[in-house]
Amino acid sequence: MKEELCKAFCTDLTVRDVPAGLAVGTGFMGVAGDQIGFYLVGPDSLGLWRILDDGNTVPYLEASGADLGVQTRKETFDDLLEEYGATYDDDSTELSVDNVKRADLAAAAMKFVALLLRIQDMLFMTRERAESTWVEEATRDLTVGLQGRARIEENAHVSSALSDYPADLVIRGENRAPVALFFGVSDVKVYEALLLRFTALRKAEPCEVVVLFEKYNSVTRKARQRADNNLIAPTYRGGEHEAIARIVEVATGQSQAAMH
Amino acid sequence: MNWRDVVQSQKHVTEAGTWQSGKVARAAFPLSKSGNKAYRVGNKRWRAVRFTVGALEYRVLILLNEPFEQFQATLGAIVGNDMAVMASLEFHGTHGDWHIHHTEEDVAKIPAGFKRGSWIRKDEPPTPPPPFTRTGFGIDEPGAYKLTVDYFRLDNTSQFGDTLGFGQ
Repeated sequence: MKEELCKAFCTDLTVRDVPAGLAVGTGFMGVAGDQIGFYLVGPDSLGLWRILDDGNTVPYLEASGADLGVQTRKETFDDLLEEYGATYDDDSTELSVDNVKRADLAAAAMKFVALLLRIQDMLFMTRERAESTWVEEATRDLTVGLQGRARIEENAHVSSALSDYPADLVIRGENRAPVALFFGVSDVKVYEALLLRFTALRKAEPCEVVVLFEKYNSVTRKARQRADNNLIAPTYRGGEHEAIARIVEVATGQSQAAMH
Repeated sequence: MNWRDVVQSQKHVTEAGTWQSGKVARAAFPLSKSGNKAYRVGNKRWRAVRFTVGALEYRVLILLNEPFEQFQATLGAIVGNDMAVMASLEFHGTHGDWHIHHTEEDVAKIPAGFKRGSWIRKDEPPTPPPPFTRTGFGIDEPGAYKLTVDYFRLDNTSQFGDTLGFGQ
């Protein structure tokens, strides 16, 4: 599995020389319809590097209606920057992580991609209200289905080693690997789930990663294919019982039928 | 009228614009979704071209960041106080390929604003004519302006043929 995931991640990775430094492209699709990328600039006289976006992330969100002047969104944005040790330059509109040692660059770059994905989630903060109905419904069904045999934590991380990759729900069953569940409301969520899965494998942290979709076509075909091939990816609508039963089985090791 | 019709129509450039830094004035490229704020382009130089086709008014906003090898030329139609974005010719240093985001919809059916939804698709040139060398950039401000003029036929001459380099 690790090799398959490494292949999936690395196949789409590109590195180009540009006048500013190195331009890195990933296979993760951003909300503007282009793959997410970032730049590595350095080393400076102290041997330190800078990781930064192309300066488009925040202006695109703002031009699309996600106003960072709105208090709740601004707080979310500031919290994310603090969590990832990143800064935002209001003049250049660049997001960056500064003073990175060469030895830490690859891990820091992966964290930076996670930050970019999570910032793009902010565009869906208004849409999430409309989507909250099925998310609440599915969470309730899951709580009922687990029958108290596992604990559900909302907006949590699997372990301290994976604190940069939080999930919508973390389900902890007794003597079982924790289950990180993402609600597949956008491609970004799928990529966050893939990033968690890949990082967990790399760090040998036990966890299962689930993306629960409302409908089969809730995300693009490419994102759906990646989820199907690399994650546990049930579809809720039209198969609510089976979808929840699958997650319960992963979290507890028991089928729902066996628990009745 | 969709974006191909606009490109192929006879145009009258009313303002060629100049290269600038900083925020893009709302009059140059209005976007109601960004509230009262001007569109911020941060680390890029920008130039806005205004033109008309018949009675309708259009804009092309050119963004350029040479050190990052980023180019974007966005064609939009003025709809009231807002902009219906029809097409955007782009190059990103992080991926190194020329491509265009576009919608084949009539301007009347395009949601106003910058956000790219399901109505926008992305295409790459199947057979790259110059300057679409796929991995090349090498564009400065005069080059970026010339490419925009050529591609969107702002001077009413055809440099890229009827397929606009991207097929039908």
